[in-house]
Amino acid sequence: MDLLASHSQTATLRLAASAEHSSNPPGEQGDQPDLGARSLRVLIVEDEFFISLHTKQLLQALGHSVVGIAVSADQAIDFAEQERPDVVLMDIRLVGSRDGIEAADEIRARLGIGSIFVTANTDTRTRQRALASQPLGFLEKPLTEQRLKLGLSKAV
Amino acid sequence: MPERLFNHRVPPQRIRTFLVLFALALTLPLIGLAVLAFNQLAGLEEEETERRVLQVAQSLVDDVDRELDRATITLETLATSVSLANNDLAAFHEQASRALMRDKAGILLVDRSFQQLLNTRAAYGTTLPRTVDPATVQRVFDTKQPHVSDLIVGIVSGRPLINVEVPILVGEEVRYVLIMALDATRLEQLLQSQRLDPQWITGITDNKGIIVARSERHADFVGKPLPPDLLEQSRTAQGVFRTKSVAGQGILRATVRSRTAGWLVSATVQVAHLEASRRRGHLFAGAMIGTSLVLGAALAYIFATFMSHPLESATRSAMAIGLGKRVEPIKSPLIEANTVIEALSTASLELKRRQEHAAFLMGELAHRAKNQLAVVKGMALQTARQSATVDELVEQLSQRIQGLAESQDLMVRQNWQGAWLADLVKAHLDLFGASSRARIEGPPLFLNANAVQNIGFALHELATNASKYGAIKSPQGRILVTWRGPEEDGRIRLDWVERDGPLVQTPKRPGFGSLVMTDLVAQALQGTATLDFSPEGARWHLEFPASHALASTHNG
Repeated sequence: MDLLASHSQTATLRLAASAEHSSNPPGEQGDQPDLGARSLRVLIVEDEFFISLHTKQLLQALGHSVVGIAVSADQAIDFAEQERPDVVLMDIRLVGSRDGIEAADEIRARLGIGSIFVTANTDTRTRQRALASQPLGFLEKPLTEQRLKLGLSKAV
Repeated sequence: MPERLFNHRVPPQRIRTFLVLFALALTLPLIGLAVLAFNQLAGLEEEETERRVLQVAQSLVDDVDRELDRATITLETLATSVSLANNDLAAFHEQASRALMRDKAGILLVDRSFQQLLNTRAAYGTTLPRTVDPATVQRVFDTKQPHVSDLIVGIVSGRPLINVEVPILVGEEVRYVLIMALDATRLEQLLQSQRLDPQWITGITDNKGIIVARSERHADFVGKPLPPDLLEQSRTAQGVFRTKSVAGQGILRATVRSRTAGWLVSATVQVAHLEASRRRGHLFAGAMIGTSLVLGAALAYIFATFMSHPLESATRSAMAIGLGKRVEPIKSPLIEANTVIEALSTASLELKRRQEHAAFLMGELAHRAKNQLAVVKGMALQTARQSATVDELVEQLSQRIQGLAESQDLMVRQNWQGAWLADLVKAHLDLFGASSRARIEGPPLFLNANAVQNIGFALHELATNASKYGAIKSPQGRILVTWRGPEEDGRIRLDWVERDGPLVQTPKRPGFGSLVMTDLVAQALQGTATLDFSPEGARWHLEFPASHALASTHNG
């Protein structure tokens, strides 16, 4: 079983995500993927692999494909350039000297690809910086399938 | 002492109030002393005036006595005249007239019947009346001694006079009385010669209380009796006394009795004059004190402002700190206030910094807590996927959460900055009771938080695997954990090698733990990892960029 998505892999699974569903709390049961909805190619930028794995499974359960998981701003820009995803799920705090806002800025400026910021709790100053980079939206950690679906539908 | 004062219930006041009280405490005793000194001075001045009045009276009586003595000597000289001895009265008249050429006086010769035998105010041979003052003449006949009369009005001149009378002795018997009739204006001139201020009045009163001469309005008062009260006071008083003058004015008066005539010679000064002088003194002193007070108050106000304004600024600064505002240091004239405000400014900056730090820490804590919850949620979901039973899920999940907690503990001790690699290895081996069987070697390396958490995950999975199948399961098993770097290629290399454990077999299907050890941790650190299951023991090798190490010198 290949749970790891490297930048060279493009999984386009439309899983029922049974394991995910079974672990979701009551009331957060994700809707079945809308087979008629557009399948998005998503780049995950997150330096915590437990979180990125979970996000990947949620995306796959929603019928989207994950083009890669990046852990740093530079890696995110490289992956975006190579894979040209439809949208980037961007953590703000990343390994390295540059953060997710800088990466999102550069990806939007160079490739015209928008980011949705996924963050645990953002202070006002950081949030204002993030807003200035014209994100497609904000999502709160921990992610749920419902929250992710809504965020993606608003953004795209 | 101040503490004892504070213990008393002094109602709190503004510093201005205390400064005003301070100024009053300084000035009121001085003003009191000045008033006392001024009154003392006024008393001395009054004593001086009294002494001066007495001196003037004394001086006058000496002049009067000298004048009367001079007249007596003149008469006694004439009494020795040859023409008088020869009873040549015509010649004597001429001689006496020459002796009196410059004096306002006349010389009379009176016999026992009080008949004037000659009078230099009339030509010799003129028929003359009897003397108007037979009493004094009789006293000279009786005593054979010179005498001075009281005031009389000359029968020939019709003017107020006084007579100085001496006996003309023939043998032991008084034959005639020789009289010098002095015009009262002559005594007035004597009084005038003192050249006193107009407020001073001097006077001579005879034994009957009749005014003989007066320095002021002599013509109006001469011959008039002194008021009985004043006469009585003048006769009985010693030294200087206060009374009313003939004109009804308040006076300060000194009276001295003439040794020659028994008259009362007095010097008076109007009380109104003295009081006016004293009033002027009071006014001057009042003006001086007033000016000093106004000037002192103005200076006190200026200096009080120098103190009160900076202290009020310090108070406002303290209140501003209470409201959480920033306080700027100021340059005021009061050093103490500057020190206080500077301290308050520093405190306000420090407070602001701490508030911001506290807010930052709260935000950071909230962020980390939610992030860790997201990690734990992902961990739980992944563990659930790999677990065949609920018991297995519970056991694996609790161990992984415990492993995560170990890494977090180390980072909390280092203020969330990261942890030393040696501590991290030891903590995860301790969790399985295996640190005593491990050799941990490597240079001091302080890893950042991301590396600590991810390497912690890998170490936990390695130790879990060793406890189930490897070196930790066997009592003889040993673990060697070593690392090196940063090396020239900018990477750090970490090895986990197991020895002397049970015979190891390569798992048929790698589990989630293997995925963590090989791929997930390596990816998260942008490094590479390999895991070999050789028969003598598992070997794990990780390489990652040195940028994950914040420091490479252990400070203890």
